[in-house]
Amino acid sequence: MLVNEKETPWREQLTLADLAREIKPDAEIAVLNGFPLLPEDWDKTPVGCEDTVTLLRQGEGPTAEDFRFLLEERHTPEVARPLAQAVVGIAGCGGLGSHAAYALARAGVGRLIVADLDVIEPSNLNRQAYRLCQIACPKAESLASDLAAVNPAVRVDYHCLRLTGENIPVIFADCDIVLECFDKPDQKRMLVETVLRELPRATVIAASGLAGTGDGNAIVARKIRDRFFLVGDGESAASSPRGLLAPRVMVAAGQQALLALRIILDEVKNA
Amino acid sequence: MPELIINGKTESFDPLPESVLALMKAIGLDPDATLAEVDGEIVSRAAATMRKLEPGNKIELVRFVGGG
Repeated sequence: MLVNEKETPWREQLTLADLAREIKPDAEIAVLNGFPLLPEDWDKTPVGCEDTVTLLRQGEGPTAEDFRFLLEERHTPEVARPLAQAVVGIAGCGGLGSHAAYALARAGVGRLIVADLDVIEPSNLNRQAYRLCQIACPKAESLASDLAAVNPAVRVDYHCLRLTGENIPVIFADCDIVLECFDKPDQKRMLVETVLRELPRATVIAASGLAGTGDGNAIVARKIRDRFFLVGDGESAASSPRGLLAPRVMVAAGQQALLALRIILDEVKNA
Repeated sequence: MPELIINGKTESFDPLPESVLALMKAIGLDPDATLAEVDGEIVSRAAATMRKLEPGNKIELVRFVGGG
């Protein structure tokens, strides 16, 4: 029997009410093999030796330690441990950066370093992972607190500043991988150039060509050279009237995040 | 005619562009948005004028388009 993700001894005639009393007396909802049940039903609900039970309180999340345990159970230690030790930089917290950062935090990357000068504007909400209540707040700071709210075990360092050839080597010095998530093409070139020249230990995953509503399958990830990968269709620039739409931006951000995981897990050779 | 190998393809030039910057301009690429590598070495935007080319150089050019 699995209770709150942990193997737990089972006995005859056990009910949900017994389990709640013994394991989590303040529980408000029990989920038995995927079905939610309220306390009034717990007395008459037997629990079998192969059952999976989750006992929850509304809005109460796991501690950092519990979350690490949960990730190891879900992902296996072979996957969870290298990810927990990895450091990934996110250069730009717009459409690409915000979605890629969520994916990496949920997957259990141990430390993220996020940087962006901008504040959140209404025009960002069509594709960036922010909310109305965050308008005018700095993107990097907002993203850092949002990531901590989905993974209590992730460490996020944030920098609300303009990234330059001078500060990139300092800010991303600890990174195994840096994701290039800028909007402007000259900034993209500058970031890749700086990581390749100044951060010899880091791999850079850039994005180019993700605007519009074209075929999502055209967004591919490819290796350009040692320590440099490029995601996108290579062609679709953001311009009026072909702007950036959430689904295609998320495909590219997902490709960047997935490639980062695969490099950390040694499934893709970066050199 | 002098040749360069650009992104794996052999291309002839007459005359050979004298620098990485001149090459980018000759083939219509925006130097600010294009990453250049010559014989395995990244050439920074600042060095693109100084980096001279010779016949047979292996050049990788990666063009970035906007959006993120």
